[in-house]
Amino acid sequence: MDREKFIEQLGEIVGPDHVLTSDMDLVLYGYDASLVRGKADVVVLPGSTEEVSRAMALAYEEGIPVVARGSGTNLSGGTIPHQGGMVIHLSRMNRILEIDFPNRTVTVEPGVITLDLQNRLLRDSFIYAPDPASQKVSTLGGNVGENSGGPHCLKYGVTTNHVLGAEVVLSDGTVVWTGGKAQEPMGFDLTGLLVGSEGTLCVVTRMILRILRAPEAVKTMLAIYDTIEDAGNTVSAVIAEGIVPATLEMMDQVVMQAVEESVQAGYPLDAAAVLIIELDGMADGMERQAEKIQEICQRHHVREVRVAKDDVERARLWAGRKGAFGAITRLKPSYMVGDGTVPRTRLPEVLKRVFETGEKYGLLIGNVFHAGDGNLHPLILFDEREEGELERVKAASSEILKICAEVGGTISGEHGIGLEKLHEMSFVFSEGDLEVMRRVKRAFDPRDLLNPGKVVP
Amino acid sequence: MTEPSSIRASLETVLDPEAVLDDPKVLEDYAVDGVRPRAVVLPGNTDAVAEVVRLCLREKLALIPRGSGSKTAGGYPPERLDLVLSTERLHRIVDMDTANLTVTAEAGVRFQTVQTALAGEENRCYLPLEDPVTLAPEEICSDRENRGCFIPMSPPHSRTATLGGIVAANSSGPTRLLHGLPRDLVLGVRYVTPAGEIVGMGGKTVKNVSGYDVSKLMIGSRGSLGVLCEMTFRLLPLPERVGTAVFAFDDREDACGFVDRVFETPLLPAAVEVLSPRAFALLVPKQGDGPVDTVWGVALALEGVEEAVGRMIGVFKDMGTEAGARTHLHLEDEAHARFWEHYGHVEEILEGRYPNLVSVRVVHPISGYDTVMGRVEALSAERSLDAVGVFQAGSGTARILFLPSGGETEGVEERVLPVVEGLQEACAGLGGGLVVERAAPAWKEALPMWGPEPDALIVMKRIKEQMDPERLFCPGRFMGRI
Repeated sequence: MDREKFIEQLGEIVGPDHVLTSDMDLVLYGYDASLVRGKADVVVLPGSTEEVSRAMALAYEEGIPVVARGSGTNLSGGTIPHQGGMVIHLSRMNRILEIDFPNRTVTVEPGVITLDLQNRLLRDSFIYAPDPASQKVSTLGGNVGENSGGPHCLKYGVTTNHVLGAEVVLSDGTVVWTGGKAQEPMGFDLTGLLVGSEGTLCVVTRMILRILRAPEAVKTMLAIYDTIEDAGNTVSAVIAEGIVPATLEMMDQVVMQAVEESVQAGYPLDAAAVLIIELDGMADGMERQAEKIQEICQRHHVREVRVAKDDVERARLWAGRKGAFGAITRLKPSYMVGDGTVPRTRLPEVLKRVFETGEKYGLLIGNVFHAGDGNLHPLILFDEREEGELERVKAASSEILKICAEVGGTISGEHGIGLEKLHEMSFVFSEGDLEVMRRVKRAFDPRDLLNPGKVVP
Repeated sequence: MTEPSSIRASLETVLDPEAVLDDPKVLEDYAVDGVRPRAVVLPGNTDAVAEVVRLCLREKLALIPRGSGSKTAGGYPPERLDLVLSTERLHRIVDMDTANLTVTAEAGVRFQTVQTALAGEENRCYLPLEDPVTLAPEEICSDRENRGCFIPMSPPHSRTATLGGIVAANSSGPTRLLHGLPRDLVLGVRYVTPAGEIVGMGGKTVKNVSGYDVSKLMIGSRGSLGVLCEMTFRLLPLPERVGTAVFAFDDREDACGFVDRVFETPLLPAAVEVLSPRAFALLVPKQGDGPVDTVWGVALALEGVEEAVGRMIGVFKDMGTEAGARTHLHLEDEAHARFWEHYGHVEEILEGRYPNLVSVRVVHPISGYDTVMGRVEALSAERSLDAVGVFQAGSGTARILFLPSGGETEGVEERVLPVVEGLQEACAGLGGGLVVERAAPAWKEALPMWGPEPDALIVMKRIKEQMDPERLFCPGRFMGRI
């Protein structure tokens, strides 16, 4: 079938207004938050499961690749249509279909913005725990595709721990449900398998998510350090002490300075690093735990510990952390963000090696990351216009992932593999491991049409 | 002396002679649903497991992996069976990294063994990065009084169950309410695929999105996709204080009313269990002279920091009294641990007297627990079949043991079947299902062993075809007779 005919048929399925074909549109859909670029042949915006199913059945018959996406905040190139084909943008499917408090679930379409759901739930004192920094724009479908993390995942687990079921469209257009409102999978845990599969196994059209009662009390602290080593050691010490806070976030001087220029969160500009430590849960004993944490901070030569007095102060501390990736472009026009994750006890050592890598390649690296679960986000700053710089950035980034793998960690904690880290998969997986993943792919998508060429090399 | 069996000769090409058992009496002990294997193998490490699997592939031998055998009574009878692969000799705790809050252990390690080791593990030290202020990189150790850790799970059969079996069955107990399921707590697995490859997925980090989350596929797959050899779990430090509060109510409505109120508070009990009258009589130490055969119980497990547990004890006690609780029992430390251990062995307590007991686990949306309890009561009364039920109110699951009395054989099937089927319909109606975890092999053909077949079964079948095209792993046992 020629392109014109295909587009015409798509128009019949979703309505001509919901098929985008202009050059401008196709270029715009070739971006995400990574450094990779591509160009789709056609973009379709379905409004229902049935439309997704019919569009995919059509693509299946024609052997056309399909890339499903939400807001495109992806940080690994997972949403780039690098082989062309049909992009399915799920933004029109953005309804919260049901909030079921007695069963502690919500049923949503994939295009719902993460924060919109969270704000809605907060009105009834409930939470949906995963809180990726991009939550203001990211969609829940994207979160499921990427198995997104976020600061609070230290205590509450990542997206996969909060997804109970999904309605999915298989590559040939067949619609099936995996899981449901029941609290555990029956048969193989397909839901667990598809969360984090980056759109390569199926397209999710509805999701049942677990919600929790909002914690009774929250306490947020900012610990300020003169050396990054002390901050790193504090993280290890808190975990070794047996305290699992809700969050344990770290930011270094480079990032703080950028953040302060952009959002004025009140971070000290001359400090080497800060930790944002938050406790939540029952109010009882929280004061004592906070004191214990402060004692550990003191032991590691903290300069100062500030405790947020109210929600306004707390929000301000977090605004800096959540805006960090955006703020960093004030220093240099481009950045590449790493996502390597290491056993928490190896964090101080790995941090040091990250800085050494930056020096070796003559690159400025800022660090803002989920220290409590060993999930690093080195931001390598650069200017694409400088000749040869991008190559050095890629080499440094890969080297950092190698370091993470060497100490028993992994190459991605929450951003996914997409296209950017395909090469590095061999740092952590053997050919046999990868072959098992290929079999998973074949079971779901025998013709290799769903987001082809991603995740598994 | 008899000729060594041909299968022994084959197996001895890859294993030591003592790692192969083929004495007929032993084989009887390892029979699965009455089907005797031709041999039992006890490989001592992952490489040996892979050797055995490759041999199976070459000679088309069907195998079933097995830990302590506490869950072999589940699933359909095997279509065929040549080997039982016991993980008994995979019994090493590989890495207790309590400073990182992870433990890695082999599949045959018993749950209680690793919990005991973790509770006594005092090494919470780590080497900090060289400090420019002190320039003295000395190990830093926690000064917490109680330094032990635990895997935050409370599976049934915990005295014998192995880590491999627990993970293969995604087996959970009361505290899943607070801590989640094995699927939430396993960070990585190392296993042997049906193709005989050793593969590793996940690792020692709590976050990991590198590649597909194949660990999830292995968790709960009941040995139908490979042999789990090694697993890494997330740990928690032992709580400062633990306690149990047990309440007795005159009827089910009062018990449920209390439970609903518990969930309206911002308090965080680790477990909220409702006990049917027979379960209550069996599991709760008798208090005074009151009648027990009609009493519904509610047992709460509490754990956390001193202050939080103290508050929960007080609040729940008052709440129980207001809700009409007849008695209240409070247990701490040893008594608490004993209560919950007992609780997880209800099947073992009853199996001697009721050899034909049928154990069923139901799964449903959280709020359905009341409906499920009602159906269990009504169905078992209709067919005069005794039932012991423990209902995990906040977690949407329950374990129900139906008890045809010891010598009964006549007409039992006619009574058991409709009850299980009726319960399955009720759960399916709620959007859940049911798994028969134990039943006499002869009844299994007629029982809905894995509950209603989901439409995603087509995908599960394709996964099985991809992973185990020869259908050598537990053939016919799993959902959809995969």
